Formats: sequence, C-alpha cells, structure tokens
Amino acid sequence: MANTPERVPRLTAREHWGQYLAGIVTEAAFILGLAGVGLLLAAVAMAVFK
Amino acid sequence: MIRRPRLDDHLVIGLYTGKIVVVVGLLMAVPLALSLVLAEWDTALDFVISMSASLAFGFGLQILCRTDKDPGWSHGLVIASGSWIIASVLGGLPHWLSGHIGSYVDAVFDAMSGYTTTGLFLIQDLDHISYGLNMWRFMLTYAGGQGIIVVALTFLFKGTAGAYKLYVGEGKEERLLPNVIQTARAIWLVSLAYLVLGSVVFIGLGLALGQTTLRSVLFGTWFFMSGWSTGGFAPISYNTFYFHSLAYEIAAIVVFTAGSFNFALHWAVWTGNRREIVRNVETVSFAVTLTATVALATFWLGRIGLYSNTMSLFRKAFYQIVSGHTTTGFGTLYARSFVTQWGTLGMLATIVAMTIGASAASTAGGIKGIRIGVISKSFFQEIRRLISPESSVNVEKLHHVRDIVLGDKMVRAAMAVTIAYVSMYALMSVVGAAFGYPLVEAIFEGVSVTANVGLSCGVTAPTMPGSYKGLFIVAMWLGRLEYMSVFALAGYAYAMVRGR
Repeated sequence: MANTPERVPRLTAREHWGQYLAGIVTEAAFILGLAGVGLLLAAVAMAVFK
Repeated sequence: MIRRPRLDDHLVIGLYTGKIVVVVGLLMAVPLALSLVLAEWDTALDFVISMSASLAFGFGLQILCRTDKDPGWSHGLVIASGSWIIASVLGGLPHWLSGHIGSYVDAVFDAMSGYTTTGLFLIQDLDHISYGLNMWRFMLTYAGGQGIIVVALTFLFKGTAGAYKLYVGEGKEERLLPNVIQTARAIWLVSLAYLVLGSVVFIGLGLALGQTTLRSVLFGTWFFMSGWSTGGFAPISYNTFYFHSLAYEIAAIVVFTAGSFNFALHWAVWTGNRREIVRNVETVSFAVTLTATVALATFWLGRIGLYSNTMSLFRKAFYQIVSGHTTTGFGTLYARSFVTQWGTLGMLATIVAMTIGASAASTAGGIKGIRIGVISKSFFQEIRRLISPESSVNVEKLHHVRDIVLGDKMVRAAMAVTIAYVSMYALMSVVGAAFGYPLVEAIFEGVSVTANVGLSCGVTAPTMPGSYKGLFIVAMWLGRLEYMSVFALAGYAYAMVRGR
C-alpha cells in the first residue's frame, strides 16, 4: 500500500457534482441578495420623493 | 541598449501565434455546422472561406516558424497581444462576407468587440442576420470571455512548457490549480457547468414567453453565452429589453454577475470554501461600489420622477448599473434614453460603475475590484500610519482566497494599471469631444469601450468617423489585455527597428 499513489479524482468526477452545485447556489444567493438591496433602495427612493 | 530580436524570437512568436490562430479557425466549425443544419447555404459558404483562410494562415505560420524553443516571458506577452489582433482580423471575415457590414474596419470592430466581450456593434440590420452568423458572434464573445489563450491551452496544447507565460500575457495570473493546463480546464469546467444550467433557464423562460422551440433554444443559449462572458451582444437590436420580462432580467443578472466573478473565487466556493463569497476583497469591493452607484442612480431617477413605481425604478436603475458595473452591456433602455431621460447624473452613476468594472481573472473588464481593494486598503493604511506613533508597524491585509499582506509592490502594480485605464478613459473622452460629440456622451462611450462594457448612449454607429472606429478597436484591445502585453508588442516592434 505504501507505494500506491493517492487517487486524484478527475475534475469532472461525479463525486464533485454536489459541491459544485452548492457553489452555484451560494453564488446565486449572493447575487440575489445584492438585487434585494437594489429593490430596497428603490422603495426608499420612491418613499422619499413621493 | 535595446536588444534587437533575433530570428529565434520571431520563430517562437510565429509558431505559437500560428497555433492560436488554428484554434480560432476551428471555432468556426460550430457556426458552419449550424448553417448546414439550418440550410443557410450562403452563410455556410462564408464560413468555409473564413475557416480555410484562418487554418491556412495558422498552419502556414507553424510551417514557416518551426522551432524547438519554448516561449519566454516577453514572447508570451507578444504572442498574446498579437494573436488577439490577428484573431480579430480573421474573425471579421464572416461578418464582411455576410453583406451586413459597411466596411472591413466595421467587421474587425465587431470581431474585436466580441473577443474582448465589449458588446458594441456596427453590424447592420441585426434582426435579420442569419442564425449561423449570430452563432459566430456569440462564439467570439464566449471564447473571448474565457480568453483565446485559455481556449488554446485547454484544447490544443499538450505540454506545459511556456504555457503559463502565454496565460499571463492574456491578463490572467491566477492559478486555480498547480498546473496551468489544469487551471485552464477548471475555468472551462466552471463555464460549461454554468452554460448547461443557465441555458436551460433561459430556454425555459423563452418557451414560457411564447418563443418557438428553435428560437428559444438558440436565443437562450446565446443570451447565456453573452451574459456569462459579460459580452452584451444580443441576437436582436432591442437587447434584453425585447422580452419585457422580470424573470428574464433576474436570470440575466445572476448569469452576468456570476460571469464577472474571479475564476479563483468560483473555484474556492465550488470546492467547499463557501464563506469566501462574503470575505473576498473583490466581492466586498463590488458590493460596496455597486450599492453606492445604484443608490446614486436610484435616488436621482426617483427625484426626477422618471418611473411611476418601485418595481419600474428597480428594474431600470439596478439592471443598467449592474450591467455596467459587471461590464456586460445588456440593456433594458434605448441607447438614447441615457441622454434624453436619465440625464447627466444618471449617466454619471453608470460611468462610475463602468469605470470600476468587475473582478480580475474573470470575463470582465474595467479597473477591477481587486485593484480598488488594494488602493483603498493602502489609502487607509497611510492614514493609520499618519495618526500612529512613529515606532508602530502597520500591517494591512486583504483577503483573496487566502489572507495576503499588502505590500508596496502590489500597490505599485495596482496603481500602474489603474493609471493606464484612467489615462485611456481620459484620452477616449477628449478624442470623442474633439470629433464633435457632447462631452458627457464622449465620456460615457469612451469609458464603455475601454472598460469593455458595451452600453451605448448612441455614439457608436456605422456612420461614426473611420479613425474614431479604429481608436475604439485599439481601446477594446488595450482594455481587455490590461495594457502590459500590448506595450510589450509595441516594445518588440520598436526593438526590431532601433535595437542592436
């Protein structure tokens, strides 16, 4: 066993897919959060200049 | 003393440029195949001619420039900058042959705009060009977004010798993985995964909005390719305004903002370090400057009462500003509305967002968040030093995947590129004004083209002066490659003439 090289999974290996998907969801949530801030600013601006 | 380049230098530059031009030629196989499937025979012939010319040029260079020498740093810079010019000259062939373009300069303008992910265009009667030519426009922008060199490294280069030097020459320095070929493949993995998911969402929205299956598939894929690469091209002249759909706009915002993130950030988040998204200096910088510019535009537009309700104001203000900040160029306004409706302060907010741009090592342009972060940190470090006792040591850190101690070299490098961008913005603005355009419009368009954004207030048109178009081509090229490799090419040309 000592001479067996550690197996390096391919970048596209199925075992990575869950983590990749979680990464996409994290990024999308961050971007939608920024859009939420934009919506809040619009609501404040409309209220201020009504 | 400047050393005159020797035959060996010319050969290695010619050989690798030839390899990259072959990749550009092979990219034309995709629109050629689409034209054949859709029986667009004239367009197919255009691509046969263009592909043959590109492959003949690329293979010809490789035959003429046989050498075993590996490229050095200066070669890498010259190869990268030279390849982008040759790729744009050859990439404009299908446009020119289509008959939808006024001159070959216009064709090169559109190809350079595609490769640099700018998104400005001079092609005429856009709504009636063939599907094949449209596919080529989006191939240009998608490949250009990842980088022509990255495409070549991913699909063509076998060895790694000299590869990193070419990669750096294209304005990217990040290594996602220890091996640069693996890094290029990881970049493609991120892009292709988003391509599948993003296209499915856009196609579904297109079908729900009543598009035919063929158009929803093509439009969905193209809008994804254009958004992800922060390109801004659209297959219709109304851009994303065409759909009048909040869902389409939200999907576009997610796609093009994700496309504007650093690939190193993607890779960190995708490999389990999810907190990186809120800690990274570039996302923090982006969140701060985006909020500030959106606030400026929103409050100004609210004050002048341009939009009647909160949702309209949000959809117009946030979309244009985030599109400008990520250097995408998608719009939901008519170009002239910036001038006739948004006014000077609305345009100023957009100009500031475009000036800053998005992340380094992404598909985006502009000064970039990391440089804004470095310069801001150094500014605060300097203030802290002034108010601290003389004996105190101020160490400033910034977080980009890992904690990095802010050093003088880093600040100098950030300042040098920032000064280059600001100088180019200023030059483009002055030249635009000299051509007779109102100053604010000249600034808007000058910043948009140099930061590879693509939003237009109406200056970019087939009728603009030829020399102004030429300057736009140079500005797009300089902005995308972040100056250094273009300066290296200029230095190489100078050394050929004046070196010993």
